[in-house]
Amino acid sequence: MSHLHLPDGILPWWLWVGGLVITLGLVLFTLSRLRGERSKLPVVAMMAAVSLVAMNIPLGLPVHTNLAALAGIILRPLFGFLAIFVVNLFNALVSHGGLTMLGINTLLVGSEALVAGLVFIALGGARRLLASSAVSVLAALLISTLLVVAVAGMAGASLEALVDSHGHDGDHRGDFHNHGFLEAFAAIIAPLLAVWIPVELVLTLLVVSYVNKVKGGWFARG
Amino acid sequence: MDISTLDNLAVNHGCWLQRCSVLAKALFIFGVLVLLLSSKSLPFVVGVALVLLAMVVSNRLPLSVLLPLVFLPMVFASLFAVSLGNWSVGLVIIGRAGVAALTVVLVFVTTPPIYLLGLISAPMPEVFGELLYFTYRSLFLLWATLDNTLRAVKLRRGKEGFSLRRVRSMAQVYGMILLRAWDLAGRQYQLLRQRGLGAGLRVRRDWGLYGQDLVLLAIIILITLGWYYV
Repeated sequence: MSHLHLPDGILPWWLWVGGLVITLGLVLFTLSRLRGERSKLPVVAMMAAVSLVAMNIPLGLPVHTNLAALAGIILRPLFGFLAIFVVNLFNALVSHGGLTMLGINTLLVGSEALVAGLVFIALGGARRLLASSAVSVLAALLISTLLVVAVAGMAGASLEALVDSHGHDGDHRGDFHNHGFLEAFAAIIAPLLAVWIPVELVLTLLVVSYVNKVKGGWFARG
Repeated sequence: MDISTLDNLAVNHGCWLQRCSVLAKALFIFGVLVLLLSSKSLPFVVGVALVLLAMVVSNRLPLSVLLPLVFLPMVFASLFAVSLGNWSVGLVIIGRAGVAALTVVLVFVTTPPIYLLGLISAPMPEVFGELLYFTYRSLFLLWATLDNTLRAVKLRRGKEGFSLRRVRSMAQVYGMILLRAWDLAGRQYQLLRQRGLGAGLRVRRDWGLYGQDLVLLAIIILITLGWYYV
């Protein structure tokens, strides 16, 4: 669910600090590998730039794609994750995602690169390009969506506690719903998901097939 | 988001915030975020927003550029606020998201990126600074390609809504940008290696504090007083 760039102030501190620690751990590990494979630096940087630019390509829908799963397929999981970290860092600097949420946002979007890259390798990579890409992108999108719902659930618990603490002041006039946070959240994002998952999947497959047509064997270059 | 407009503001817009040190501005962001995220008071959030808007006006920064950037996080926060079903807390959540966004954007559009990236990469391994610098440079190269391609597509296909044909043509734009990026990557890498990339690129960092920083200190003291009393 790459479009939900979580802003500051909606998650409990332990969750965003935890996200930041895990993300930084993964990033530092990947950077140590990048130091050994310096020739990969330009392609990781370019993939990050492509992803940032891709967000501005108009699809005629109120959603955009950032090709995170494709980054995992092209760069392999860890370097794909690193590219997505750089994307989220630049996004956070222009408030497209909170600065404190950098870790969580990177884990949510970067999970697509990690999952897609791993599944793509497990399925034999470029030997069955379109089938491997389709399965890996779909798996990545579904897992990323589950992670978003899990994070939203934790955010909801924390925000409901905030409502309770306000409620103790005796002010209940602001209440206008009684149902749970997660159900309401799911009802809002379900239509978006119904559009976004097929669009991202189809778009990624079309990009893979276009690139393969123009430069045959590009995905098998290693 | 037009990155060249933001970059131009950050480098060429002469204002008092631009003359403050990068370190002071980073500490300012840290201070505002700590106070903001630890507060549940809507009047406090509104007060900080007014202080920041006063900073925007006194620095003659264009609201037409800043407000869309601030609006987006508020939209995302409103998803959570609406799901919560409580107006009073919902407004605090939306307000916090907007004010945090305004703080970060205010610093971004008044700080030359080279200094900002230098500060961000300081605690990280050297290769990270190179990665950020390379990405930032590549953004402008690809942006120009994308602009030209989208103009060509528009001239050829006209204005159209969402359709599978449009997705297909946009997929070709994505693919073309990707291939162009890979071509550029090799050439840019060779070019930048001549300038020191890969062998310890010198990233300029300024750890100094200047007299102008006292204004930021005064503002953060004002916000802290508000946090304490409101």
